[in-house]
Amino acid sequence: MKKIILFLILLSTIIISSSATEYTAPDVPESGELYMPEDTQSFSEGLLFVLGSALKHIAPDAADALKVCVKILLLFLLVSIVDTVQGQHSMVVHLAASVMLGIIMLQPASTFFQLAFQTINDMTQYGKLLIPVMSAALAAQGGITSSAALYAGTTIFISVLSLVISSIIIPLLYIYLCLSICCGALGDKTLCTIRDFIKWLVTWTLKIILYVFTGYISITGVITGTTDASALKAAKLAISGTVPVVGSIISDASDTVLISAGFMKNTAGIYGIIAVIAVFIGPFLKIGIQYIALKLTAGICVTYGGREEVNVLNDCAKAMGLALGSIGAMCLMLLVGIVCFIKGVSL
Amino acid sequence: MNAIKAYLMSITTAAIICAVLKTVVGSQKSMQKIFYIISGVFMTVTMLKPLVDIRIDEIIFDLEGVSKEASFVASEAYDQSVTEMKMIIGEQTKAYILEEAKSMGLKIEVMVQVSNENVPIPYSVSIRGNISPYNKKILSSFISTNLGITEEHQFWG
Repeated sequence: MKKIILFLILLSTIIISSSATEYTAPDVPESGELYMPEDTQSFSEGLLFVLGSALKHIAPDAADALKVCVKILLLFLLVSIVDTVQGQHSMVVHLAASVMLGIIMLQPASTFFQLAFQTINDMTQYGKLLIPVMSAALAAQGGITSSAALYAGTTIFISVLSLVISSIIIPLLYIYLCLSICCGALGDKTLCTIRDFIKWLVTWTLKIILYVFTGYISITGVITGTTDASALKAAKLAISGTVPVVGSIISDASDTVLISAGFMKNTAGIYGIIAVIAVFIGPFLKIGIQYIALKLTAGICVTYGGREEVNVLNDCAKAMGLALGSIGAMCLMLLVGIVCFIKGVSL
Repeated sequence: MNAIKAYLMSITTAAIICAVLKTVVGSQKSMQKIFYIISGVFMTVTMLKPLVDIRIDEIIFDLEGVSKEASFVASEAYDQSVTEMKMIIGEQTKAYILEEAKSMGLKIEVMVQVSNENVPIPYSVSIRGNISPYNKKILSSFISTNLGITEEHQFWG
């Protein structure tokens, strides 16, 4: 009889817990709404939907990339014809060709750099809304130490990376393009050295921030997770030492709160991961298509001659690659942070 | 960050100026060596001068503020979860007592107070209703034995 009564009491907790605090992920930013699935219960299905939506909208971007490449091919053809007619390598012609190439690339490069800047801002703002929700849910699940540590670390690194990319790396990409054109036009070694230095600086800045973040998250997650798991075990031992009926009530109440918080945290985390990818995927494909198109065009233009202009074209492609790397780094940092929150505390 | 951006732009501008001048001057061999010295000194001053004016305290991130915010969010959420747990414990204890009273044929109102310890436990109960001294004694003993709430913490109205 008592077992039946206890079972009924346990069953009533399902009704009671419906009034508990809810931890829901913030809505996806406007830039990611186009690719966001309506149902985010299944992670794999949501991810496939995002990728499918992004690929469906790829055609206009491919057409724009093709237009730019056709202009570049025509320029190389013209330079090749002028060189053939003149019968000699003219510095003025190649200087003009480098400048023309820069003018052709200026508008699309500027568009993509601004797109990268906006994407970084969107992901940063979304992260600043999502991280507190995940942190609160993890703390409610019993991971109070790991929640505070992960919140602080993720917020600081996201803010630093966003600031570095928007204030230093994006302007550096413009400088990199400018130096590439000057290097191709003038052939000055100092300019080429500074150009290479900028590429090295951007690449290693992103790498170092990501390495340090990954190291911090890994070590912090292990140490604080162990602390929280020990605290939970100690609490459970304390519960088991009480009067049996009371102990059962407390244990069930504790499990109800922990499991519901964990469920809400995981749901918010999965939504957050899909939302971050939805914001990232569109710009990534746009810039990626232009990057691949420029690489292919550079490969074709080699046959026309004009080594300096091909180098400038390769540098333009590298600038696109650096923009891709920047938004990829921010996306990766957010995803790693969210996954660490989802992993949480081992009960 | 703006200072770093301005620094890099100043180096780039200086390099471009030197490259353009080199193209103009470079053909005259007599001017070449003098130009290299001047452009080298110019680039060195451009690169080193801003480094002297750097102030580290302007670059330092507000780590303490973020840390406080993190602790606040975590403690608020943890306190909320403890509050919910206490509510569930109170409701379950109340339901347990009411079930026992019902089996005894009693109609009572129950209010349970839960402690504020790390592991919250029901520590007092207030019962109102028409109860005979005999039933009160049985119910009181039931509450003491099964829920650990002593007679001193049972209030009968």
